[in-house]
Amino acid sequence: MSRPVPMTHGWAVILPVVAVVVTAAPLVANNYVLSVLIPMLVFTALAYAWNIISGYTGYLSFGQVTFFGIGAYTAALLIIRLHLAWPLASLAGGLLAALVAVPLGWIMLRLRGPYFAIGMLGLSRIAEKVAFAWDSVTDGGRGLYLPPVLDLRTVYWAVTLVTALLVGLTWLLDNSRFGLTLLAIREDEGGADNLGINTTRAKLQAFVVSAFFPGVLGGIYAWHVSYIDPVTAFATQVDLTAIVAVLLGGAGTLWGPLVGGVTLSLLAEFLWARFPFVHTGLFGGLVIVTVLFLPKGLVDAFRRCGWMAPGRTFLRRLAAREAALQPAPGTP
Amino acid sequence: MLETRDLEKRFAGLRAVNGASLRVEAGTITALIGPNGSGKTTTFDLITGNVRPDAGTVHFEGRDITGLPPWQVARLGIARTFQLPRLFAEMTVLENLTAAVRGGSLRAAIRRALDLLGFVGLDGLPHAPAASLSYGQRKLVELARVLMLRPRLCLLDEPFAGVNPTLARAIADRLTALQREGTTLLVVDHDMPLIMGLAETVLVMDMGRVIAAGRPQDIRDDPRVREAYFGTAKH
Repeated sequence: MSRPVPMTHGWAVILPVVAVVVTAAPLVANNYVLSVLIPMLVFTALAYAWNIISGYTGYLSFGQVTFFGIGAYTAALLIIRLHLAWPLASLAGGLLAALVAVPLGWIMLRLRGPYFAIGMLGLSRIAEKVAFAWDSVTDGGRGLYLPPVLDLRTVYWAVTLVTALLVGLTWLLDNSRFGLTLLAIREDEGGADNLGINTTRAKLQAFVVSAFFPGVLGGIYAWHVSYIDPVTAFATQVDLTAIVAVLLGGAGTLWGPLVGGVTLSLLAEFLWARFPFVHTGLFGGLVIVTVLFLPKGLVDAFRRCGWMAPGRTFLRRLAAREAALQPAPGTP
Repeated sequence: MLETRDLEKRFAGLRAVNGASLRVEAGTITALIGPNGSGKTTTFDLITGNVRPDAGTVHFEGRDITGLPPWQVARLGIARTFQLPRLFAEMTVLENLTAAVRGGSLRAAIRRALDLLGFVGLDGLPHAPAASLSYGQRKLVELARVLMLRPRLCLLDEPFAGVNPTLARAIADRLTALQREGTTLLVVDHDMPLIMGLAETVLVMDMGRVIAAGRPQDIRDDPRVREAYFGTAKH
């Protein structure tokens, strides 16, 4: 009865090509290229995770790095103490981050707007202080040393896989009723509540997903750089980079984090290479210009130029197909 | 179907609702009228769980629903619209409707949304952003959106306010159609000719309590009602 809605021909061609190119890239790319691509993918993936709670649900968080740090420490300790393989250690990092996110979200999501944003920032600072103080486990400010990773290709494939999973998950979200529920909460939480939406539960689910992936990425990061300390694991910079990527690309959109993450990384790399002394200043200036002239992000601008299709195309196609069928008799 | 007993709500010393008791019989259109500030919207808020009462109870189909959160009240079968339509501005009309329903397939939800848009006469607009609609269209979309929940009781807060007479007439016709389908309606409005023609029962609120209840023609001539609206009547 429910035939799958056919993929448009463009995507049927583009997706496999992109998959092959992205997977095969490290076989030809040198270590310099990989050392640019890996942080780009990490921040793109972090941007996707942030996009779920903040872009779709509208709860701007300045503290998702809390979960990145929890994942980094969990994975590092599991690798050092139990000699666990990095994929399992990273997964465990994500799971613990998600577990911690349940009670934290339950409390923090009672706050709204700027109070939630600042509350989450405060939470990440507390997490950093805990990592400093819990010396017996974290080695405090001295940090944790892991066995070095020499082959960057495995790191690249790992972060590529996480990014791909997040793109897929966001596509599902973008075209599901759960995604619409989150958007409804962003637009008018009280209104959503009156439509029978259990907003507390939906927000918490979004928050936990937005904590799980930074946890996994924190684990991969710890394994990749083979040293973590409280300052780097809970760096506000990590959150800010992901947030800027989403805002640049377009919050609450499927492609925003990818467009923003890639643009941002290439731009930063170009400016750093070309203007080594003033690159951060130029970068900040470009961010300001973009936010001023494209407040809804690049994806929105592309859509208005007709270069990109409007969002949630699957719903539109489903609706078009339903509308073409015979309307049901007897209305309400 | 719905019964409130001695509902009370004070806001910083102001008695917004002060012992409101009312009954809505299943299958009827009941009007709730009264001067501005008499507590009609607060009564809606108390029934739907948007505001917790200081005292009193709300029963729906024999069940005590006093103080339940709005989403639970909505799932039990009571839907409400707002004085100012509260659409999800950055979403399309279709997405506004589809977000409101749970259970069943996405396809069935879209099917129902398209049917309901037809029911309120907005067939052509499923992909219009809600923010681009006129005030009257927003009222219609909000009505269609609460119907997505298949409510047994609809609380409508001023469905005719601010819309042109033709559209008001059209909305009234839709409400009659809903009643024929078995939906019970409790309607707050100030458009007396329209509401008196529509409702079988009229409840009158003043100073936070229900001061009169009866058939429209009886209510019209009730001296207490005239007093509430115009002050002490002189003969």
